[in-house]
Amino acid sequence: MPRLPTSLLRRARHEHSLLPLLFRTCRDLPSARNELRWLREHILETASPKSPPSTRHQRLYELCLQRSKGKPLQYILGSQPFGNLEILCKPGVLIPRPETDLLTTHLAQTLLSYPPLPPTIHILDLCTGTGCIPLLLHSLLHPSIPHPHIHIHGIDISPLAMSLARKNLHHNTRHLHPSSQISFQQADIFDTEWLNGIKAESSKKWKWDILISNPPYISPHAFNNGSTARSVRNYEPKIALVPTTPTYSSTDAPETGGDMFYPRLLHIANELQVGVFVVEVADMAQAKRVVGMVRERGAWEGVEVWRDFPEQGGRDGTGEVVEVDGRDGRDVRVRGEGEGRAVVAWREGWGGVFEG
Amino acid sequence: MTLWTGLRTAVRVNCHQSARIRRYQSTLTTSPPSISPTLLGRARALAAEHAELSRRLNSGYDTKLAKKAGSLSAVAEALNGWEAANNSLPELQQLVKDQSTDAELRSLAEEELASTREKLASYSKDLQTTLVPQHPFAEMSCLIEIRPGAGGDEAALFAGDLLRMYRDFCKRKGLHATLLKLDSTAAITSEDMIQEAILEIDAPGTYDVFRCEAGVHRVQRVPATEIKGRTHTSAVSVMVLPNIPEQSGQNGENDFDDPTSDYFVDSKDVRTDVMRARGAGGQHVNTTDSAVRLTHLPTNTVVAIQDSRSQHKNRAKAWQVLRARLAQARRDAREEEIAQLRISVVGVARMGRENKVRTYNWGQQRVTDHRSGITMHNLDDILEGGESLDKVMDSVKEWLKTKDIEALIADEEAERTKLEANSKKANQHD
Ligand SMILES: C[S@@+](CC[C@H](N)C(=O)[O-])C[C@H]1O[C@@H](n2cnc3c(N)ncnc32)[C@H](O)[C@@H]1O
Repeated sequence: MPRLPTSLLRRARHEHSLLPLLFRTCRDLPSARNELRWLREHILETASPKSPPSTRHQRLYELCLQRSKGKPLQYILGSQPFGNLEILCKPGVLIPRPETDLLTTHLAQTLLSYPPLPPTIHILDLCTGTGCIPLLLHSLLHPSIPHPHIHIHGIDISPLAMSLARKNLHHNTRHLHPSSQISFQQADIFDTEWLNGIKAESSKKWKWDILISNPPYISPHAFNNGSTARSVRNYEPKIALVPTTPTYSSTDAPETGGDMFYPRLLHIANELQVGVFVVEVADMAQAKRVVGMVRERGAWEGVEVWRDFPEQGGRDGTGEVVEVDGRDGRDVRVRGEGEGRAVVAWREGWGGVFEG
Repeated sequence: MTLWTGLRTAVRVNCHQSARIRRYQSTLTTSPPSISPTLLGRARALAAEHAELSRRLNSGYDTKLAKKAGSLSAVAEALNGWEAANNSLPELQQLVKDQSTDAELRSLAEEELASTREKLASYSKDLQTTLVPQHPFAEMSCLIEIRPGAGGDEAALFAGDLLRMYRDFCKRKGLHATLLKLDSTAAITSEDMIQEAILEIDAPGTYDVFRCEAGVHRVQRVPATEIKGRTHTSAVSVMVLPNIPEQSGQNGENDFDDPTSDYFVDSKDVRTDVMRARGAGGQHVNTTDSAVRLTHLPTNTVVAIQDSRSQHKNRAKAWQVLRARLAQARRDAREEEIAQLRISVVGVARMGRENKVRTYNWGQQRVTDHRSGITMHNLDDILEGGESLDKVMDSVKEWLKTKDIEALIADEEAERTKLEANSKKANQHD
């Protein structure tokens, strides 16, 4: 990590004695200023009004110190905004990322721009963590659907995550429609029994319409080579970041070490005959590998890649389709600007939503 | 330093303008019971239109017609009153003048004459007020943008003073005001030293209340850091923008989706930038950057908001400010265009928001508004948003009204000149 210029540090100290502490983690002055302001607001909101200013200052100092050591602000403040929601955060459960926020929002907008969306929708979110994806999807979809019955089921292996997801459901009820159902279940998605169970649940009457997942996708190599931030490595759960599966062995190529969950996710999607498959990925290279996996399986009518800002760039600034070479020499459609962020595949009947 | 050039030209325009203002005001204060024939002509035309509308409404109701008629009825009413009073004037004057009138009748007539003159004066005032069209944003709530100009820390401090002044004013008036954006140069008590602040005043009609505040406010005082005790001059620019409601209204002009309206912003024209995580993004980093920057490409208008931890909220606020700025800029451009026409025809200049409008002088504890010419000596009360500020603002509103009437007369005259020229041309062709 490069050293911060002393002149900047001096300026920060001149502004506020605690600013240099935050500066160490934030690496730029505007962010450090913002964080200091948010921390102060947090203390004003949470401190008892009777506590003397010196106590409050002491508290502010402690929080800045924690932050300077790299503890994520979201764990200190206990939450992270996600779309129009506030998602509660706790050490042990991955903090929702802005990229996932944009992806979820864009998916909801895409679904809604296709008018005859059925009133009853079933969505499965695998590796749900805080439950941020189900909650945001729900809050974005239901206001535009008359008499919605949106069923969303979130799965995660971590009991900590599941209890936090339930808290988040409660915390955000005012953004949700009363007649819809959101549920969370603790399970290992590699567990065959679990898959059989969930397959049995969807009867002939209904099918899972959408499978979405932001699985652990960082390769052990990328976890250690400096491309993963210190604060992430030291404070967020590794199980949420780096795939650990019985099939992975360290002799595998370093760059594909983050791909382990995608074949399993595709398998589940096939077993459940879902209409739409949406997975987050680390970058364009991983996106292309996942596109390859989707094509290998056949069964899918279409597949494309979304970048971080799917609506931007392109021919007229609307995220118009861009053609890129696929791995197997075939073209892949890529939407938007930024890093490759998601692979989206759909079955017959859903093409109208995505090809528009 | 664009602001400085702005100021310099402002001063020039201002001197030249204030001569006109003074002349105009002197005619107003003698307030003759007569009204400019031009305005009278306009009032008669509108009253005739009102009569015609009423006739049509009698034979069948139509909301659009009714609305139009309603807006004209005040003109018709004032004109009626004015004409009735004006018509009885000659007879009364005759009675008073006539030697043969008996004493009792004459004294009655004299009383009557005095009261008729009063009525006449009051009706002409009504007429003037009703003839001036309401500002298109008048019924909206507003955003007040405060930004320091030249003058470094002094200007930033004064921007803080103005922010406090408007917040206190709102508190006293029971208006709900919230800080929509605050960029401070200091991390601590941040509302003192301001780089940019946007105050949202969430009550309909407040645009009209604060419209008179737009322009460059100047401060003259000795900064705390100045050892030699020299007075410094710095400037802060205040902008008052219409706060456009989330939902588009029924009256055409409020329509978001109508490409011809002042409020329309094509989302294709707006580029959104958010702070990108360094490197790979996604799971690799847990950034707290939530800043959103919108750029309206055709006009290169940039709005950046980073106050909230929520990118979603920052984006919504940025759109709110962008819409407000574009609507105001379009209105300004339109007014400028009309003003240019006016200058070319009758030579009436317009006072833009780039002009220096008010000076706050600490040494003399005084505030002078350069438009209305009012000077008040209770600086403290003004800075606390007290009743003295009401007085200053009211004087500016009066001034704005006289400017509007002046403009109205100019427009009517321009129109007439055009008509005359046309008919002359037509005659030549005969
Ligand atoms: C990258 S996090 C995503 C969390 C959340 N969906 C989000 O976007 O913020 C991956 C999640 O997968 C969970 N996970 C890891 N292995 C799993 C498995 N075998 N089965 C189910 N969930 C698993 C982790 O507990 C973690 O919460």
